[in-house]
Amino acid sequence: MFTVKNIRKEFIVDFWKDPFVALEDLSFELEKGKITGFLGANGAGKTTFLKILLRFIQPSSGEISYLDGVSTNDFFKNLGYMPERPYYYEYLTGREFLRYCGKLQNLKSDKIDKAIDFWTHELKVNFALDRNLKSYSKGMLQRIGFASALLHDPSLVVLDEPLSGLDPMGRKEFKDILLKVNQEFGCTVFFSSHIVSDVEEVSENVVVIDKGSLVYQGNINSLLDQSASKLVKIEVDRVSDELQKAEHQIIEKMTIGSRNYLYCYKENQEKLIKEMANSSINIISLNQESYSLEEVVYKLNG
Amino acid sequence: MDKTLLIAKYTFKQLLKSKIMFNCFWLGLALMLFTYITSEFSFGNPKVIAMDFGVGVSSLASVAVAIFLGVSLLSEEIESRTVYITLSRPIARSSFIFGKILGMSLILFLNTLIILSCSLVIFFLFGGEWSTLIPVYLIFSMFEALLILLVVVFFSLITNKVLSVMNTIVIFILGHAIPNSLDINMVKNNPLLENLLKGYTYIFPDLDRFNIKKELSLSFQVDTTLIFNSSAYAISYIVLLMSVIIYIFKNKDLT
Repeated sequence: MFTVKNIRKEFIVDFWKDPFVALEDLSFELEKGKITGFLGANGAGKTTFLKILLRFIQPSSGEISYLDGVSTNDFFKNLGYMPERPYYYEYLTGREFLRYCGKLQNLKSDKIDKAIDFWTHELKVNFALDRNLKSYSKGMLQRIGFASALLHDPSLVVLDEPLSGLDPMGRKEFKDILLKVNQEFGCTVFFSSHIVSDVEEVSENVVVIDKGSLVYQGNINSLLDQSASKLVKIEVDRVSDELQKAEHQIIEKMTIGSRNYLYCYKENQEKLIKEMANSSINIISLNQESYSLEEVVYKLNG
Repeated sequence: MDKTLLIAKYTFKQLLKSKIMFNCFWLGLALMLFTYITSEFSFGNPKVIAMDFGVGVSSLASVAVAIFLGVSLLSEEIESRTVYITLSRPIARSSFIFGKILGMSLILFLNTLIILSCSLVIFFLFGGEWSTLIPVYLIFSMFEALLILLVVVFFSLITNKVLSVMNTIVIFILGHAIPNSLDINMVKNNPLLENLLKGYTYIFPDLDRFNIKKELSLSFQVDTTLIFNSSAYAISYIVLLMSVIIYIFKNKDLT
């Protein structure tokens, strides 16, 4: 969808001090048709980057180019965006606000009404459409904001911390909608979050930044595979002296209560299993030690 | 242009439903009451006092509303991230800011009209007569309020809320005081000071051009050339300030 090249953003905080560098040489590419999570701790520079992407602020250096020869104008016509913890014109009703957004996208009135009906049903906020936004809860504002980002069938949706402030049910529903938007409508989704499990649950790709610099970009599964442990944990029914031949292949033996565990390197796994079979030792379970995305991200961020 | 009008329409709609209009009605009623009481103490010519006090306070009220609206125009939109919802769509920043100011100007006009009407009710109650200067005064009040709105928007783009309000109040006071001070003998006798003060009126808004309160209260005539010149001055200044505001807003980081 777009390529980010060497983006740097400095903010002058104090005239007498060095500028604060929010983003440092950030480069990555957003793949079309996929859900990409944008991960980073609070203050990592996620929102700053999104503001640059949406032209709210100018980068100090670097550029963003749109793929497939898409012009800047077309890119913004086909973009849906929801900011973090949005507050809208509180004296407008939900319907008035969505109509306003639809008209800004040059949609015709009948199409706007159809889209409002569809997306507010999907997002379960249709019951409050004729109430002033002032009376909406945080979760309802989040839903109406998401509906406003989807009204014009965008090809790219950019969401800044879309799951913050939602209850567990709301989070689940939002994630389902993200998947639906991507799978059924072919929309590319790029959303920022500092909650790794949320990103892991719905995203195929991930961009991880730390202190304004890129740490990882690519497929989540590849990242997990790269970071997977080379250790294998085998639960056996007994630990016998007959395994002496394979002793050098075992890294550690452990007994917890009535359970016996052996640890070995993955490349020695087959030999060890053969030895165990020869010694009539039964294998109860065999697991490769793996990390969650959260653990991997913590490792990446040092 | 369509988008500008759309922004103006929704800005007007949002403000119309807000407490500003509600407060405007209360202010109008309070103004009627105070104008009546002040006129009762006039001992002889309640009409003149009703007009003088009424239009004076209504003019100040319009300026106060302009400052209040102008200072919250952008800062609140940015603080609450509402501006991002609009600007992430295919719309030019110039259309956005122009539409916002247009919507606010309509609210400002409505406010000025309501408050001035309330003060005129008491004037007519005391036997005052319709004058062609009344609509001229309404237009001049609107010019003054609009200039103040643009001044406060300009300051809010380059500084914080408190400083924007303070700077605008200073501009408002000096906009009346400095042109008046040019009539003082001490100033007339000091060419350097006179030129300095004249220089000020060439750069900063000369709001005293729109002050026809005395003529209105005492039923004097106002020269049509003065009306024309003052209107041309207001329009030129509004166009100039709008251009500067649009230029700054187009290049501003919306952090």
